[in-house]
Order: sequence, then structure tokens, then C-alpha cells
Amino acid sequence: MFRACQYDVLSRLFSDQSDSKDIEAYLGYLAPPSSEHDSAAAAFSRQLRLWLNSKEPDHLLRTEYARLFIMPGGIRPYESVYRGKVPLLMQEPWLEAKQFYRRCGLKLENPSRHPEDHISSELAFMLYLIEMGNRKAEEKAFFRQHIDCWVPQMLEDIKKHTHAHFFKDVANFGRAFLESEREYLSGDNKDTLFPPAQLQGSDK
Amino acid sequence: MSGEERTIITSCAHNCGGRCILRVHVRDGEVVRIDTDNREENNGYLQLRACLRGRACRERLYHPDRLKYPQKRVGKRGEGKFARISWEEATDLIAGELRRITEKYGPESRYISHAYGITGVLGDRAFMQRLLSVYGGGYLNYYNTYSTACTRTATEYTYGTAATGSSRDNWLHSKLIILWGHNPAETSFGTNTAYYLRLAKKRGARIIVVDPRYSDTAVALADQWIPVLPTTDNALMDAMFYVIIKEGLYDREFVSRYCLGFDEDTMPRGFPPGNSLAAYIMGESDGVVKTPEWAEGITRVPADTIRRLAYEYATTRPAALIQGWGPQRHAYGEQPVRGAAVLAAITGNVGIPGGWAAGTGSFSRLRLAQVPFENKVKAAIAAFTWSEAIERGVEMGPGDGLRYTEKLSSNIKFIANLAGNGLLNQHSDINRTRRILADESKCEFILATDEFMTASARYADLVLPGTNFLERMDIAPAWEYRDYVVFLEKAVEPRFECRTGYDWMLEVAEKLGVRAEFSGGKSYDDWARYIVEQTRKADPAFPTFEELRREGIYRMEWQEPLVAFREQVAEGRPFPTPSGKIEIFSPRLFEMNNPEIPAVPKYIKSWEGPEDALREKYPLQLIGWHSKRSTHSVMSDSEWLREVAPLCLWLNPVDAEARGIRDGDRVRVYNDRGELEVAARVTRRIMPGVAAMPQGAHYSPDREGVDRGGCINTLTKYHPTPLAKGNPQHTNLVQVEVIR
Repeated sequence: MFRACQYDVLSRLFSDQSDSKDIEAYLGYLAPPSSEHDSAAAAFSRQLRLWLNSKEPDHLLRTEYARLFIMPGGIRPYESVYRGKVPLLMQEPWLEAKQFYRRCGLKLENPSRHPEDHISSELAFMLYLIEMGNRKAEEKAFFRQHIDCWVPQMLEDIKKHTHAHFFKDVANFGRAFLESEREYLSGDNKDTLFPPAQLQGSDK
Repeated sequence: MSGEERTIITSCAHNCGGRCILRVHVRDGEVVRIDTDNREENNGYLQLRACLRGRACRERLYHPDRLKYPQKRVGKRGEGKFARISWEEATDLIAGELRRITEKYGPESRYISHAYGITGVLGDRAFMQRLLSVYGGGYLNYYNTYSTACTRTATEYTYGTAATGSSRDNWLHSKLIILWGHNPAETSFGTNTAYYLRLAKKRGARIIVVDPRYSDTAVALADQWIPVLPTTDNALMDAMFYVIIKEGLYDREFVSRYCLGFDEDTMPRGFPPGNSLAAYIMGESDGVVKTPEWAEGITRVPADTIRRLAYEYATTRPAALIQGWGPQRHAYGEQPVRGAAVLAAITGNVGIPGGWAAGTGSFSRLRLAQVPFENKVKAAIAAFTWSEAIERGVEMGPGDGLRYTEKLSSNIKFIANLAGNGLLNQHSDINRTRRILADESKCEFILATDEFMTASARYADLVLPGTNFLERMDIAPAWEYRDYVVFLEKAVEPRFECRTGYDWMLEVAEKLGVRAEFSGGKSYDDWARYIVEQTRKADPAFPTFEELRREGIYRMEWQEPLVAFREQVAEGRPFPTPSGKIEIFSPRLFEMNNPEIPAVPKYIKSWEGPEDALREKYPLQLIGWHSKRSTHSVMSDSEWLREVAPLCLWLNPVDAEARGIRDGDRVRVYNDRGELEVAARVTRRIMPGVAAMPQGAHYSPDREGVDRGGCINTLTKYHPTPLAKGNPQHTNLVQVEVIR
């Protein structure tokens, strides 16, 4: 379940500003099983400890999150913005993600907090699939159709952003984790059980 | 896509010159498409079709940069550092600051800034007025607006009212139409105004456009374009008066019956001789005869063109001289308003079908009720002077435009800037405003609500995420030609933590212990019903709430065209001025004894006009027109609209070549107040000596303070006009340089 823990931590990091208590909790989640000692998670944990020891970590984390994800000129962590024909919210990729959840019998409880295609929602969905067990086909399809096709680019954008410091570490961890996921979920390339959605009738 | 599609009717609720019908198509709870009025045109019903701004509203609704959560300033004011907080913390902060500031400084220290991002009757402003009335005894008022300060004031001094507009079907009777600084093809200026002009042209009306730019309106409609240097409109008008007087072309009977002070014979008793308009025009009062040759040197309009224009206007009846509001936003903006109104009067074009009284030119046949409030503070400042009232409110007096009190008890300490970008972006001289706002000891608390982090919101202490008009229900009247009302149906639920003003103000009221008085026990929807019920009390023909909601629109039935001042001219009723006449000579203005406020309309050499010695250093006059690309700053960074109308500075090839500027070059535009960067458009559509750029671009300074966003207010001056204390936004001298 170590995969699940890592999806969980990443989802939480993007969902809202973290404070030092959250970071301590993440450290707990990320404590690696003995076999995965040198993993990206271990490296990230070391960085997290450094952040905990910095001066006024709560203030730093709060303002950085605001600058990166709340203020304009920051990162727009929505699949719709990265993959839509126009870079807006609630475009086709959002609908595809929402329909994917629906096919798995799932509906987002509070979509007005974050829509279905926000990075944190999509990562949380991967966590759900893993926790359900026996859903590797869905995991593969969702990862390929909704995560691997835009999240790496978003992580690159974070690394290039002037105001990213803490989130540079998050992005490095995220990139390494997604690489391992890509490898883990590779193999048969056809999403036969979960073909990409076919959409019709949208404007612009 | 899954789900049924439904279509709702609404209208853009921002402060543009239209009020058009949007048909919003909603599927799965989201807006998938927006189109416009497609009702059948019959029985005089003209479709109220939206312009490109209205059709681009989906981009604004779903823009990823929308504000999503309340944010509190954590750095220095204006520095741009914010952190997300909860609504609970946000309403605590507002209640706490309101209590503290009210106890310390009193109600006159509280101000709701000039902001019209929401023009529906249930906008945040309406409820903040009520909240500040029930808690703490009111707030400092303002009078007039950034749009119409000079025209309303000066029109009232001339006609006794600013309601000088006739219904636009009048133009179908006009033989000549002069659009003076008027560009409805871009500004709308009442939905369908350009369409009515098109119909008038089809009926044979000749159309002349007077404008420094060959505007879209001129392109589409003009038989003749007369470019005139900004701030010199009155020199052109003076020379027209000269021709009309000299040739005896004025309507003698009309002048003697209805006008005060046209010549010495029509002057009121008790004033020294030589103060009539004719005395001024013929040079009897100042030794300068206002000939077309004199005017040519000032306006750059050839003397023969002036003669022909005067002759044509005075001898073609009926003729409509219709003023836009651009020319009155200059240093002496009162004068062109008075000048044009007098031209209309002495040619007998007032009170007749197909004529036009000039001046403000609006009318209102329909009055929509408002959310009630009782502001115990009577004091009012001119809308444009708020930044002065932050710095030296207690020193301001009647000469600064302060009204209804001798003296203010406090400077402004609390500002609610609700759905507006006038705190910085749209106010003159941004670098000056920045200095004033950045001083946290002056205005102690600034609250902003918006959909985006605007330049103004960046200077707030607390920024709240507002709803888009597609996320709330509201009711809005037509723009200045007021004869219909649109019901703005809610299309989708608000996303994230966006909330309408009333919603969070209820919580603030609760924390201040005035929830019951504030709400009157009503929900937001109840207030909408209340508005309709109150409107019906005064106008029983007004539909019920259900009827209005179902139809989406209510239009007044007109028995006949409205002609402003028909009663005065046909039945001899007095004009609503003190003298009962059209006051060409204003005894009230004469009493002010101020050469900048003459008793008859005059050309006054403008600071930073073409005759200012500062032209040696800054040789170009810069104006900022209202472009089709945005409604003020609303939508000015829209990608969709940028494709149609990119932001650029218009320069005549003569001025461009002298500076080595080619079309498309980046240029720096600067004067002593600031500097901005923008792309140049080299075009003969603007006269030499003048540069023009759309107003409303988002101010975004770099580290050196150079505005990379191209906001014209980096260059404009804070200098209120003499009488109205209005904004002189088109009065700027600048230099332009190419960036290589």
C-alpha cells in the first residue's frame, strides 16, 4: 500500500496549504517499508524535515501555496486547463474525468471545493482505486488518460516557477513517483476495459 | 455529452453601454455555449443582440485565474503577498475592522468606492449601503460618476436636467446627424444604438463624425469624418457660432422665446453688458473674434470645413447633434457639453422630432425599485476626489466639491471596493494613487470583492471571491435609454468558495449584532421579489416576479416617440432651470466668478492641450478610448477578445516615421507621471499629433515601475475639472519611443 500512501500525500499537498502539523503527518505516511529505503519518498522525507526546521514554516508554506495555486500568474492545476482545446476550467477533459469516476460508481462529494479534474481529485481517485484492490485495469487506464498526459508538464511548470521553493521539492518527488508508476502500470497499452471517452457536441 | 440541455436568459451585468440578451446553454450543470436574442422581430420588437463581449462571457466564467477563496494580505499593502483564509476568518476581520474604525473615526470615515462591476439591483453595493446604514450610522456619499461627471453637471446648468435624450426612433426623421466624439459601434451606448443610426442612414440622413480617430462608427456610418484635436472641441463650436451668427442662420424666434443670454437682447436683467454668447464670439468681451480661421489654428480643422459644417447644421432641419461622453472627460469637459447644447438650441433642434437636444442625452421612463437604506450621513464628495479625501478629507471644502456639509469629520479610513477596479486601475495617475494607498496609516482598511485579482484588489487588505453574473440571479434595467428590464437568471452554481455579497454580509451583520435590521428577514431571493413588488406599486403595468422571470425581459409599451422638451417647445412650459429658459448664459455660473467656469460656453486653453508649452517636452496628445475589446477593465485580458482587437497604441504615420516606429513595434509611452509599454499600430485612422489607446488594460508594473500591461492611467493626471470635479482622462501629453 505504499503506492497509496504516496498518492495520498501528493493529493493532500496540492489540495490545500499545508502547515507543520500536516508535514509531520506526511512524514508518517511516507515512512518507507524497509525494502524501499532509497526511494524518492525517502529523499522527499529528508527535504520535508528540513522544511520543518526552517524559520516560520507555516507562514512560508501558506504564502507559497497562495502564490502558486491561488494568485494569478501561478500554476493552474486542472487537467482541463492543460488539455482543453481552450485553457479554461470545466472543458472536455474535466467531463471525461467526471465520467470516468461515474463509470466506477463514484461521484465527487464536494466538487465546488475542487472540480473533478483538479490534480488533488485525480490523485485521490488513484488512491481510491488502489485501496479498492483488484482494479489494475482501471488504474492503468486512468493513469494513462488522466494523469500521465498532463501532470508531468505541470510539475515541470512548478519547477520553473520563480515562487516555487517548497513545491520544487514536491515536484521532484512527484516526477520520480510518476516515473515509477509509469513503469509499474506499463504493459498492455490498450485500455480495452476503459476506452477513452468519446465526446460530442461541445462548442469552440 | 450526457444530460439535458436547458437554456436560460440573462444579460451581462457589467457596466457596459448595452443591456443585451444572452441565451446561456447549460448541460450537466455547466455552461457549454452562449448565444443571443433570437426572438422574432415583430410589433416593433428589435432583437437585443449581444456584442462580442457578451458572447465571450464563458471564457470569463471558466477562467482558471478566477478568485476562488478569501485571501488576506500578509505583506505590505500593494506588495502582492496574500494567504488563503476561511470565510469565518474573513467575516471576523471585516466585522472587527468596521467596529474599530467606526468607533474611532465615525461614519464619515467609511466609503463605498465608485465601482460598477455589478450593475444589477442586487449587487454588492446595494447591500453594503444597507449594512453601513444599519451599523454605525451611514457612510460618506459620492455624487456624479467617472463616466458622466461633466456632462451631467453642465447639461443641468443648461437645460435644468440631464434627461435630454429622446427615443432613438427620432433619428429616423433626422436629415443630418452629427456624432460628436461618439462611437456607439464599439461602446454600444444603449443596445441597438448603432443599428438605429444605420436605419437613419438608410432613410437618407447624412452622418458626420467629429473625432480625432476614424473610429469604427466612422468607418461604418460616416459620410464625412472631421478630425479635431482633443480638448479643442469648443474652438470648433465657437467658430460654428461665429458663422451662424454672422450669416444670421440661427432660429430667431426660438432664441428669443426659449433662450437666455444668446445675445445682449436676450440677457437677463441686472448683469453688465458684454456677457452674452454673441459678445464673446464676436470678440466684444475678449478682443478675439472666433472666426473659422482662428479655430483652424487651434483645432486643425480647415476653416472651410468649419464653415460648411456650421452652414449645414444650421440649415438642415431636423438635425441631431449627438454627443458621446469622451470629449467631456477632459480638463474643461463642462464646456463642450454646454457648447453643443447651445448649438442645438439656437438652430431650433430642441423639442422637435428628428432633432436632438445634445448634452447627456439619456432618458428614463422606467424606474426600478432599489434595496432600501437610510444613510444618515449627508456629506458627499465628487466621485473622482476620493483619493484626495484619504489624504486631506478634513481640509476639503465646497471649492473641492464637498457638498451638504461644511467640513468632514474624518479622512476616509475604511473602503469597501466591491466589484470594481477604480481603486487603482481606472483612477487617474496610478503612481500617485499607489503612494496614497500604500500608506497603511491613511486608509486603514480596504476590502475588495472581485472575480479576479485586479490591480485594485492587490491593494486591498482582504480580497473576497465574488460570483460571476452567471452564478447568481439579479434584475437589471436597460442602460441610459431606460425602457426595459432584464431578469438575470442564474445559470450555474458558484464554484469554489465564491459567494455573493448579500450572503457573506449576513454573517458580518450577525457578528455586528444587526442581522435582523440588515436582512429585514429576507433572503436574497426575497429581495428580488421585493424589488418587483415595490416597482409594481409605482407602475402597475410592471409584471409580477413570476412573469418577469418566465419572460426574461419586460419592455415598456410606447404610444409614441419620446421627444425631450416637446412640452416646453410645443406648449410653452418652462424649462426646469431657475429662469425657465435654456441658459446659454448661466447666472449661477456667472456668480461663481471663475474664469475656468465661464457663464457662457467658451473655448478654454487646456493644460496639457495643444497650446500648452509642455508640448516641447511631450509633443503628443494621448487619449484612451472605450474599445470593443473590454468594458473598462472587465474582459480586457480576454484571449478571445484579444484576437479581435489587440491592445495597441494608434499613431499617425507622420508621428511614427518621425520616431522611427514601424507598425507592430513595441514602444514606450511616458510623461512625468509614468511610463508604459505597448505595441504600436501605425495608421491614418488617427490624426497627426494625437496618440490613442484603449482604456481598461490591466496595470502590471515591472520592478522599475514600468507598466507592461499598458494601462493608460499610468499616464493620466489627477486634476479634477473646475465645476463638476470630474476626471480629465483624455488630457495627457506624452512622448513615444520605439523599443529596440
